[in-house]
Amino acid sequence: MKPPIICLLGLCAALFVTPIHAQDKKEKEKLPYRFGKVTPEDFKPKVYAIDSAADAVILADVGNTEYNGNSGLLEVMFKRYTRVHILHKAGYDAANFSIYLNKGYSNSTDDRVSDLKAVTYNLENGQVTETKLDSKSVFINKLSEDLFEEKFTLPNVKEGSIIEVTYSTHSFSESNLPGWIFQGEYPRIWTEYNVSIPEWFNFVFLRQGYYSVNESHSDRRQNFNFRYEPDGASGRTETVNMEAKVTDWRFISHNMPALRVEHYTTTLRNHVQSIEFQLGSITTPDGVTKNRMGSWSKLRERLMESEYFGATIDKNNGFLADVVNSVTAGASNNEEKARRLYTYVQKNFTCTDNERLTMDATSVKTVFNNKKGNSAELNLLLVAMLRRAGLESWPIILSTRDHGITLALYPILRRFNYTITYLQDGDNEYVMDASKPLLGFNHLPLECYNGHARLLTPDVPPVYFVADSIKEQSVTSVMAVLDKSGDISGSYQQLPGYYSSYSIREAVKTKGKEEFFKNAGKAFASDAAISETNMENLDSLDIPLTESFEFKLQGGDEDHIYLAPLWGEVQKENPFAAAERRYPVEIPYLINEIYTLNLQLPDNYEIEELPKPALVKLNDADGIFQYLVQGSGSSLQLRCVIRLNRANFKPEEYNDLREFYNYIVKKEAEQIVLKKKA
Amino acid sequence: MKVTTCWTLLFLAGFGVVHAQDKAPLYTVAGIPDSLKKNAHAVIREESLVFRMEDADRTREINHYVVTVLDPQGDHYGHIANWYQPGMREIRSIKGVLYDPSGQQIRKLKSSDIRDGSDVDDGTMMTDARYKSYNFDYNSYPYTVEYEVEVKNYNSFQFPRWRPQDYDWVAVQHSTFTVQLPDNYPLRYRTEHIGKPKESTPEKGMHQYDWEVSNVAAVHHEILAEAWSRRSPNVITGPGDFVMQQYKGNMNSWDNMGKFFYTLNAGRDVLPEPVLAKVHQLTDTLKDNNAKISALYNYLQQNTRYVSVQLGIGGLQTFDAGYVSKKGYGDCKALSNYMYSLLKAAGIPSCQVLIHGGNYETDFIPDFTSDQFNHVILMVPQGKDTTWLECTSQTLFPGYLGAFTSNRYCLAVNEKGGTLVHTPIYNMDSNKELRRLTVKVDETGNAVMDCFTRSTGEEQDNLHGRNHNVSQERILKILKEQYSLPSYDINSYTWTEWPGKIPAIDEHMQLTVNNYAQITGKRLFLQPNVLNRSGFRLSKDSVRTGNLQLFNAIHDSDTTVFSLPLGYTPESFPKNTDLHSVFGDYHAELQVKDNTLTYIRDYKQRNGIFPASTYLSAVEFFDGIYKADHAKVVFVKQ
Repeated sequence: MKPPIICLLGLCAALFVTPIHAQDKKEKEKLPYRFGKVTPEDFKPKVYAIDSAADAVILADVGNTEYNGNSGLLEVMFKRYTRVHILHKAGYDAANFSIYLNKGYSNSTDDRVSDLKAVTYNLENGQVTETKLDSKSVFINKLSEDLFEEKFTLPNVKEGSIIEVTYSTHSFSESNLPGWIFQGEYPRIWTEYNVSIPEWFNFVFLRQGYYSVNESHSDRRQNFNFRYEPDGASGRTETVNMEAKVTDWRFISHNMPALRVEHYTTTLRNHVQSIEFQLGSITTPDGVTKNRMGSWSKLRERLMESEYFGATIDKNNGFLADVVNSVTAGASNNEEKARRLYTYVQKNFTCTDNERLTMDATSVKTVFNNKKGNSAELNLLLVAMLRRAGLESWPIILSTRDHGITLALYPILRRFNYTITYLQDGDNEYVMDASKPLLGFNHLPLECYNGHARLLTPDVPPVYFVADSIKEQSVTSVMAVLDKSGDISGSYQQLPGYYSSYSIREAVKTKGKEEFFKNAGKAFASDAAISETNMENLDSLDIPLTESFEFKLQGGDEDHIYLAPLWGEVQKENPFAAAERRYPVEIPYLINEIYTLNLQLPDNYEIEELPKPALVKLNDADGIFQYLVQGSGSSLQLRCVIRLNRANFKPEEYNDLREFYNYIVKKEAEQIVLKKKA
Repeated sequence: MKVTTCWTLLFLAGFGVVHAQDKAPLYTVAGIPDSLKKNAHAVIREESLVFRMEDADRTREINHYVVTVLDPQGDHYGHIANWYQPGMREIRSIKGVLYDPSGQQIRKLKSSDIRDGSDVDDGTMMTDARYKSYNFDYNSYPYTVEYEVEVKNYNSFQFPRWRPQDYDWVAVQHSTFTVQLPDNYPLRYRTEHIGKPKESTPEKGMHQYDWEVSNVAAVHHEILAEAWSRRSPNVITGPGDFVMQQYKGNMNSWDNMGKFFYTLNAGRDVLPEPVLAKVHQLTDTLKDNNAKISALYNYLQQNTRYVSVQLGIGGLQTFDAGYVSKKGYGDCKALSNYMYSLLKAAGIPSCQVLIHGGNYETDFIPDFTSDQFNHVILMVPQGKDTTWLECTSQTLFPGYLGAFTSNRYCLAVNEKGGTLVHTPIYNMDSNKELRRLTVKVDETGNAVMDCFTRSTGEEQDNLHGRNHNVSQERILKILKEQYSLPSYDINSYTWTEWPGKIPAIDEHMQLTVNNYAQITGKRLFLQPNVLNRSGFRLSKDSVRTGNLQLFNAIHDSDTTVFSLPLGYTPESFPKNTDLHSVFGDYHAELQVKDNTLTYIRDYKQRNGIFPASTYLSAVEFFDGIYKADHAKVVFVKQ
């Protein structure tokens, strides 16, 4: 079982409820389909206007969720109906379905599926034929102790088939009101979600996406009859039989295009058209209102008290005293102590599972003894050790870039997936991640730069890690000499940015230095012979490293020598290949690349032609490209700078960004021409 | 045949280290000879694989090994993963210990930490195969792990293969392989790079075979090498009489193995009445068998798809033809069996064929009968002609296999038994890529290109797969990122396919490439090879020990015609290139006439195994191609 932190959140103060008003009072649009009613006409379309290249089109995807007491307990019943027209073989995947089911705290509260019907329709000789899914072809795959998957594929699927699937799921966790995703791999012509919420539940609606969704609602009365346990699973049982006001919500959208991942995207989760529900408060049938959204301070309190998170940071940690004392012995100040403890955890413990918010073990001691742990465990161990050393340290919780953003407004724990370490020493603040063996003290992985995060000090302040705050600067310099026979020899030195250095450290760790330079040499010039390879500060993890080598390029005794002067640093292709962009570009940092070349010329060659200098700006201040070149009789110098002052760009700015890089690619491909003196 | 004595005694010694901490540590890093550390990321200190036939239908395997991991690239050995399938193969126990460099125990594996996972993946609808895995996750090098896994097989079909050196980067200090069989049950085995076993009688009624190797050094990794299984010592074993669930068989010959598969799947070819009627409707009016095969194969492709469901003996036994016709899907066995049934109903006999699928696989051992297969296809013999059918594909043309199953031995099965047969070989004349490209370069260096490509045989396999399996939108996206061009757009892309025993795909693509030619002042720079530049080079700096293997025989032929802005004359111009070697032939030439530049490239690559001594000529040959492909032309404006 995963630590049941989410259900512990309840019990308190503030309410975060967004009032929503009906937006259309028109006659309700009616779904033009009914399960089982498929006519020869329905097979006519071979392509759909929404997306002429689609391999399958979801004609309708409709979900309905309601609360009822049909099974004796209050349950959340989710019913889905979907109709898909499969157009090409490449769309056969649209006939595969998986329904994920959680185990409850007892057999009677396990999620379950009912009324599963799935039919494939084909048009044969002008007649519609039906093939039904048989129950033996529905498989249950155990994914973990508490998560099962019911999966099936429809029978008799061919190009042109129409499939229909309907099923219901029953869940007994009243706060988990299913959300709805309006967009996906295939385009959707009709996507609709209806959700009926009894007056006892007050949900916050979290909407996102770039398309319009029509919303409406109306009230009615409904009779409920169920048992419930006001004091939890082990307490007394009461029976409720009452009428309550129920609000029927409807969310509907048409012609939702397919969503595909593009380069420089944190995660599609941030961009997919969707709605989620977060329980704000419950008014139980006996009239008591309980806050269920909680507050940041309640969330913090629960986390810090959980045995899978904060409870063991200070508890029973006497065993840490010896090791903390010996590691910090002789340290001159607090920062030095912290550095040593950070390095100690980093070097002596293995991270077994990245991107975790909470611990699997129930104590820091277990982690310590095992010498391994997930990312949260190693960071919480570090927090415990820092505190043992008398320092003021707290965890920070956040969501990594690939996990989607967190909202400062709502304390929703499931949106978080990562825990790092915070240290305050007087006015100095430090952040660190003990789970990354090659990351320096007071550095975080790029994945953490995802905006809002929370520091778990008693006042739980929001903290922000933003991509715009990272300046990834690389400085490359090449000093070279062209000799009389046309050969070039010289030295290459690069001081890459911190995160490039991090990648290089990883590459060296897994493949070795020799292999690294082999590739570096090839990247510099495919026929370069390199020697004197050197890497400085490889093990000084706090700062960027420096790589350097000497190179030799064979030339020939030609009348003209042509040089593409940017060697390995040339931007050969535009990173923004796609012609259009439907959601923002999210680059992980600000870019500043500086390249300089100093080339000595022999006295038998002279410069015949040099590229023209250039200076190009992206929207005045967002980016700059500078290309300076000058030559005198015996030498030439080149300086080239690419700078982006913003990490994120809106879809409407995409074209400018693409053009900016087009120019860079063009300019950097220009060549220098030398001519043999007569 | 029931043997129970002494079994446990044999293995108590195996995991002794765990129980003998008070003795001097056995596996210190200092105990590894330097010769075994060279080129190695890990060293197998000690391994024993013991396989014992316990009953006619039951076997047991115990694998005990101690490995020192020297660096992160050897971490593979810190981790253990074993598959099992309830009722067929069960894991009795997994033990593990982690040691520090001085051989002192750091910690033991706790069975509660063993991960139990489902083998269902993206390509499988359902299987009851699962796996158990564990990882010490230690990152202080070197470290040593000791593992022991005991497996019980509820069949005598699966016999082990022992390859003490799994990879070229691991060294082996000592490794043993033991097989214990009832003494009336001869062991079938085949060895490579190792001699005959030592034979003994461990107990009454049993016969034991022992192999061992010591001090096998890791070797420098060599590219273009032959299959590792051909280069390192290994023993493959196989059953004679065996039992698999309620089925009995014998594997003494390919013929017998074929009989078993035939029996296992016999009577599963009954088609429902409407499908029979459909077969007749489709074929009765056709005179020619080839036309009938095509019609039925097309019917199969239009009405079925590949879905993998493997439960119990279902890994070997097919779902019957009725199942496939009802569901419209099946795995390779079920779809081949269904096609077999369709052909049978049309009066055309065919054989199901067991094969090892995989692009350019060549390490099949034809002279040893054992289950070396992972796939089933269909063979339709017609006199001296044979039609091969890949029944899991909804798009291949009848008679063509592709690199996934071409050019290898496989086992054809029918009521008479099994016969080893060979799938078609597609040679250089079959695998062609012919391209004609016209490029119009304007005054700014931008280019409009019109590209026609005809690909045939194995050269069209990837295209076929891509164009049939992804949407047009996705194809454009792939094309948009595929080429190493500065900045470009695909304006149009169309393709057509030509059926046949050697199928062909024609592609017509129009592109706009920004700055294809670089213009600096009065000069224009241009790379004549636009789309087919070799990225392949071999490093000179190694002493070659193993043979070289080239897998595919191909013939690429490119003609590119550039029209340049007026007024330019050539200033620097690469010479024509002609390269000839045992690996192939290469020719590149350039012609200029007025403002037209014509580039011709012709490359033939032979496949096969070439002696290690040819390595330097390979370096030179591929280097020469690389250089010629990357040559540039410079024009200057008068």
